[in-house]
Amino acid sequence: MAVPPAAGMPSSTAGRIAAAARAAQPTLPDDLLEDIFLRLNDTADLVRAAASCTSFRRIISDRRFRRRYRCLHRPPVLGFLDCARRHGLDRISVNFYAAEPPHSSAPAARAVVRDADFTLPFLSDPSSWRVSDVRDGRILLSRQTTVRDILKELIVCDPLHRRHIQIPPIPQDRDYGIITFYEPFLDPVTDKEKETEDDLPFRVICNVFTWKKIRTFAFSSVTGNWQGVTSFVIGTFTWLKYPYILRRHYACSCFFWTVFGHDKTVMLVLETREMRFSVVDLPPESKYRENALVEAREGRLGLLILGECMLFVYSRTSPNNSHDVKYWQCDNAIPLVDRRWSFGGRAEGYALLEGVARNPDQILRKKMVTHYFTVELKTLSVKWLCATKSDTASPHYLYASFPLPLSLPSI
Amino acid sequence: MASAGSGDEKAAAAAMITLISSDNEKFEVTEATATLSQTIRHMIEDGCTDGGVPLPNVTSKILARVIEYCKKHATAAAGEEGSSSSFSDAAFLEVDRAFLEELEEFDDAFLEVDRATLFDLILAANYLDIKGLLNLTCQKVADSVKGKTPEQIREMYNIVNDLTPEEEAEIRRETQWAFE
Repeated sequence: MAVPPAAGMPSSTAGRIAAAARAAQPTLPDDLLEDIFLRLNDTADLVRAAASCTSFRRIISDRRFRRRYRCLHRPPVLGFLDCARRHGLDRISVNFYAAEPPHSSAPAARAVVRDADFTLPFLSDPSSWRVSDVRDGRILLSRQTTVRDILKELIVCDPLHRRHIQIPPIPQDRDYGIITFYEPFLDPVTDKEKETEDDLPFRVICNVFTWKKIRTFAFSSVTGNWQGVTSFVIGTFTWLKYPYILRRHYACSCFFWTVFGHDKTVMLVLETREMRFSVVDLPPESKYRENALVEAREGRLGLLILGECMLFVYSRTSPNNSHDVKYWQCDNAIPLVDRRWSFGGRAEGYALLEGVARNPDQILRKKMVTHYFTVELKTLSVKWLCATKSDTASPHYLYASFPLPLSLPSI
Repeated sequence: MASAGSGDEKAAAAAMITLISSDNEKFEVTEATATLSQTIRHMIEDGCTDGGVPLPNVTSKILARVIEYCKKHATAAAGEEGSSSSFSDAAFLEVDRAFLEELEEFDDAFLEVDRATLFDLILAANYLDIKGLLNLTCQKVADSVKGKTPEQIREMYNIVNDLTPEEEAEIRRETQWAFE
């Protein structure tokens, strides 16, 4: 690198010489500087570069640049969210558990703690709401009746940009029969949308369960309407009659529902491009074990299975249409330290692992610390994220986002 | 691949192109070397290379370095193509790896230049549309910025801090996390 020619000289002379040197040296046009800045994987590097001079700052703060950056780089996982009743309060609030040092996201996570509002001040009667999904910086909140899970209202909010939007009700029809369960969730933003759209559109999907059928509706923020997109006859798949025992996963443009803590080694699949349901076999090793469907190497469908202090990584070798179990192969087994392990949420490119020290005494468990780890799916590197004493049974959702100056509003 | 039309390729490899730098220096290069540049490739396709290709944006000093890069990478590309038909897969992979390692060493040594030369190489690679070279040089600049403070970046690249104290304070306030 060029040493500044003015080092050690009195500032005025130094300034003149530096200015002369600069005049003689080439400068790069904006499009090439942009190309260079897009290569910075760590957003902290980008932010510091933007603080160097006005032209760098202008290039990096440009919306077009931020959009391009968003296409090329995954937002970092900053922590996870859950939804719990804070003790002593009769309201449900979203709790954000931020990444702690030495995790590389810790500084950015602290910024989000400062800038975002997870208290959801816009909710009326907050105790009746719950978090249904978290994805792409958005939180999907649903208000349901306590007796049966009958959906009353839906709200999508962006806590970092402090925005929220009410979603209209799903169209009702007497022909549906008795509805037993609503399962609303967010459809991930595709790479193509990231490229072309400035204010990202979003879609909410909702599975409406009756004893006989699952009806799937999709809401688009562009049209502002719900539309029935597909359905699935439950028939002999009786486990689908109990939707609250299902766990939802997303990978490779598909949603998956597995049965948790059961002998089932099949799962329900919803292919989101064609909006078509199917039932696919899982390897027998997944029986009675915690599992998570993920995107594995080379865009294959992957499956993480938690064994006794082991994380098994499977991938499916056949493309999509073959459901035969022989297409699953075990690629890797990662030893974990001696804890009771389970899966928390997943976000694009990451899975969340929770580990509690083993202790037979359930009373003591309440006081025990749960340690959270992220698994980066591409490299399978396991990193400590944070630890907490709170012991909630509510689901955890990984929260990934660029910090404020780089993040664009998601609503 | 090499099995098809190797006669044509030999003829193409023998064809020479003259490149003329901004300071009027002439460089004779093979067509295989020259066509690493998409800009020159298009000129050849359009048949406008007779009497030499003037490159008014590139000095002889930089053009010499660019040609050095293209020669090395054109040879490597030709080597890879030639070997694919005559080696078994394992042997091919071995040769491939050796090529790549040598190429990487070459690239590393090639990038040992001062800042002004590096920027001139980026501008030349951009003008001549040489993807590999542009990628290499831009990545070098990006890597040099990693983990650096704004002060260090300014010092490295002779950048004047033209932000007002108010703007600087605002940046620090908004993005304190990146400076911790």
